[in-house]
Amino acid sequence: MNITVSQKNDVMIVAVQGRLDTIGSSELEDWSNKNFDPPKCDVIMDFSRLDYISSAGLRTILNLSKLMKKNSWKFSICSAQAHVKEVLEISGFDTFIPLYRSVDDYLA
Amino acid sequence: MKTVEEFQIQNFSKGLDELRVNLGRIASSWSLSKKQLFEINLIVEEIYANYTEHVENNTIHPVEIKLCREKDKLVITITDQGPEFDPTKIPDPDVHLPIDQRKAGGLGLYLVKHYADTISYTRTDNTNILHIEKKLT
Repeated sequence: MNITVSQKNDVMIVAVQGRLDTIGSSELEDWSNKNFDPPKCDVIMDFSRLDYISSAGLRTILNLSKLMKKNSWKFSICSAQAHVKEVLEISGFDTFIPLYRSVDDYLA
Repeated sequence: MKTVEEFQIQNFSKGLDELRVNLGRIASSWSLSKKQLFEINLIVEEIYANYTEHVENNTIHPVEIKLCREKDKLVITITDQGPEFDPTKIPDPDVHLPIDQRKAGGLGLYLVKHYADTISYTRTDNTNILHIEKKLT
């Protein structure tokens, strides 16, 4: 699990690379506890290099999404691979997390 | 022709790696697509995660995983000697609730039910046996 952060137009872009399985999700959870206490801007998760997601990953994403909402920041996901996007849709996460095709799409 | 592959997950902390490596090996020998491998991995991880949540005091016995393929039909059999647990009895979560009312619990088995065609559970000789059928299309 690799997490790379960059900033563009007041948005924090968090690129997650690897697998959001039970192990990867707890790594992301630890990372966000350190870095989003509290969150200070809008966040978009770049999932272009995320190969795998399970319900453990969904739990982490749901918690993150709730934390952002509580602090009145926008939380979005972009560039998810088709099978990852499908899991987000089956679980109904696309009803409360906007999914974008790319970071540029989000910024446009 | 019927092809069978079997392996065990023995080590609790490295279980997911064992699972990923074994399924990767089987997927390449069976020429499965990336999406098929993803769906099979997800199904087995979710069942395994449920098992590890339900065992007492980390007394983890090996979980046996058998994949049996006949043409485009795949049967995954997952066997463990943990406490009785029938995942088919777990109610589905409401995936249409707004974010404030959403809880993450139950999504794993919901995804398993989505990606599998049939799931059946039997308990014999203190053993949980789960049969999961999936068409490889």
